[in-house]
Amino acid sequence: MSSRDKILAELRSHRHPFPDAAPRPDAYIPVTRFSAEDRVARFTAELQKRFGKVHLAADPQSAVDTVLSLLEADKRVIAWDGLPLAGLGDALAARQIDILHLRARHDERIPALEDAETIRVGITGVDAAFATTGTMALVTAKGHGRVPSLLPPVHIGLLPRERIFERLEDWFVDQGREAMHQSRSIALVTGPSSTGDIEHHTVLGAHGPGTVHVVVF
Amino acid sequence: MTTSPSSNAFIQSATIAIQDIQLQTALDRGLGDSTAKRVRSVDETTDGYALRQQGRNAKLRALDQLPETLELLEARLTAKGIGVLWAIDGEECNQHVLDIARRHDVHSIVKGKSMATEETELNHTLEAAGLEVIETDLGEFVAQLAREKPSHIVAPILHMTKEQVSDLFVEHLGIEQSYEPADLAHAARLHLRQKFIHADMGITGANFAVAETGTMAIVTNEGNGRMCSSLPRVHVVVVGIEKVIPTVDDFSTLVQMLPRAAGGTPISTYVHLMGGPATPEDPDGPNHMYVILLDNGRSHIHGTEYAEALACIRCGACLNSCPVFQNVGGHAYGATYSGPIGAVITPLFKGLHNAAPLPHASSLCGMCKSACPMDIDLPGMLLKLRRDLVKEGETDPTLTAAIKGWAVSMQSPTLYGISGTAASAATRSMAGPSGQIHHLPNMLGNWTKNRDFPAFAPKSFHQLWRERQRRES
Repeated sequence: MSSRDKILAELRSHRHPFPDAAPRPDAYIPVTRFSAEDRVARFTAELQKRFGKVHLAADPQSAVDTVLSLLEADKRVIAWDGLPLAGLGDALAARQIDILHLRARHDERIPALEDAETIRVGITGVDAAFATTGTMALVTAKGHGRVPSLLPPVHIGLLPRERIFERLEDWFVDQGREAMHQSRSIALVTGPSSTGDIEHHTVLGAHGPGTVHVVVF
Repeated sequence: MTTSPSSNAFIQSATIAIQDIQLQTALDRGLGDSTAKRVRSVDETTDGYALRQQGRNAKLRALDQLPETLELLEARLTAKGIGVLWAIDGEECNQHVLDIARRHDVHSIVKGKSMATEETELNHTLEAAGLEVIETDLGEFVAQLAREKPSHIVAPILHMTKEQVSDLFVEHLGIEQSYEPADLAHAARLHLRQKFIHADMGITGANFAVAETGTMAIVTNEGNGRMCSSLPRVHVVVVGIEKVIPTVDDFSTLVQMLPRAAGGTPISTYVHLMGGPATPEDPDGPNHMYVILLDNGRSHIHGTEYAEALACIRCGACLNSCPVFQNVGGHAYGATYSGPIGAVITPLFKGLHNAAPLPHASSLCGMCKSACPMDIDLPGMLLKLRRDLVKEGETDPTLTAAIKGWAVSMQSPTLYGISGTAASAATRSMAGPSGQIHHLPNMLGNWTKNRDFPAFAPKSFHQLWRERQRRES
């Protein structure tokens, strides 16, 4: 008998331990409070509490300007393909900033990661955002990899304002559920990487990006 | 690895712990206002009580239907190209990891924080096989350098001061002495970054395994879990079978309750939902992914009256709020899990006779139950374990005899009166002018080791009552 069958047989030999457990509710109670407020304002307030930097742009052009202003002497950035911000690619090209798209797998992976490691800024789109927790959801797909939001010390997320949901539950009930079925990785990111392991003292930039900018347009 | 004292040495270990100034300093600094933060963040929710029941019932439904829920999880994981393995105990789990490492020619491993692999002592097995294993959670990394075990489910080095961490980094990483947590965290980042990039395999735990979609979810603030599960070419998840939850909706509730209970934040910085190895359509990830479903005593607990303990989501709130844990720290429990949840599950995992003092390592004040986001009846289970101790003869026979004698005298007014008068006379003769006894004789002396015992009143309540009745008639 395999361990699998032994474990399942042992579990099946017991009576059901919680016959009184409440059945799955028709409607779940949402965790966070949200009253008729502005989603962008709430998202901004929550993300700022978690040390994220939010930039509100009136239109795509000023969003492009904001991104450019966040780049210092950077000659290369690492980014997703097909960023949701029209005009950014051209603007980076005009400033002679190269975009690294990480593709290598298998044997070339480590040299590719070492190369990516030298880059200061990663730029990604944001698939969905949740106002009540200040969270962005990054869903992987071809050209939408994990590395741009993982390795660089600075991460810039580009967030069209119509992608901001009130709550996490509102996305997971439908689109998020589908993404969980389909995608190999979904990262819910709320602010910069942090640790409190040494005497409960908050330090930013533990392993992932220590600075997180979200440009909302 | 330093061998830690056994759970049966709890009294001795705790006695040392409460006099250890370094430990007391670390506990004071580390626990800080954790309880206030947790209470505030639960207060911000729509309905703390109803949400607690919503989350609890999600876990109870999973446990009630555990074999079916696990089979669904297995099917969904397999369909995504994830290798699913089952381990009846720690040894089998470690062997699975070793087999995977050999199959994929693995030499170096980065690990995310995982209590399940602490249980199985996986690092020991891997190191003995000549593999390099590096813990990457900052606290776990420090504990590994110190050759110590984590002392808290969520905050592994709650028992250490920043000065101790600094000394370790000076010795092992060659940094200049600094007591700034930011400097220390930065030094660890630099050191571990290279390990992440070059590692062949990543090992993580999982906080939730969502059966409906076949998704392993891990919550971290540092982001190391996301790195371990994204950068190396092989990723292995070791997860206890009780971590499975049925649906995405259950996940949506629980993933927001865990960080509130653990650290007082609405959500952890990272929630990583892992859904399988890379594909041509989704190429940035590991080439191979495995999930090891670990039993290690859980299926046994499932059939006992302690099954509710399996609803634990390992947030650490019961540890932070427990007056015993706050004073003795985690190592005194001599087990992987400490605090109230550790005092309940350690005797169930290791056998009551191997952890006999733990059910008594509680004042039964009830703070643990009130802090638990799953509303687990920890004090009730500690009481039942005490009952089991008596049943199994794990209690001092003199104490059992004394309690039997007490029960007899309580049922007879005459005997009650005689023993009361005798106790009053005896204790008053032993007490000093303060009315306090500093040293009780024989085995009763344990009581006065750390506190005084007040002498009985000269007249009992019954005597006073009779005198009053006489006066009034």
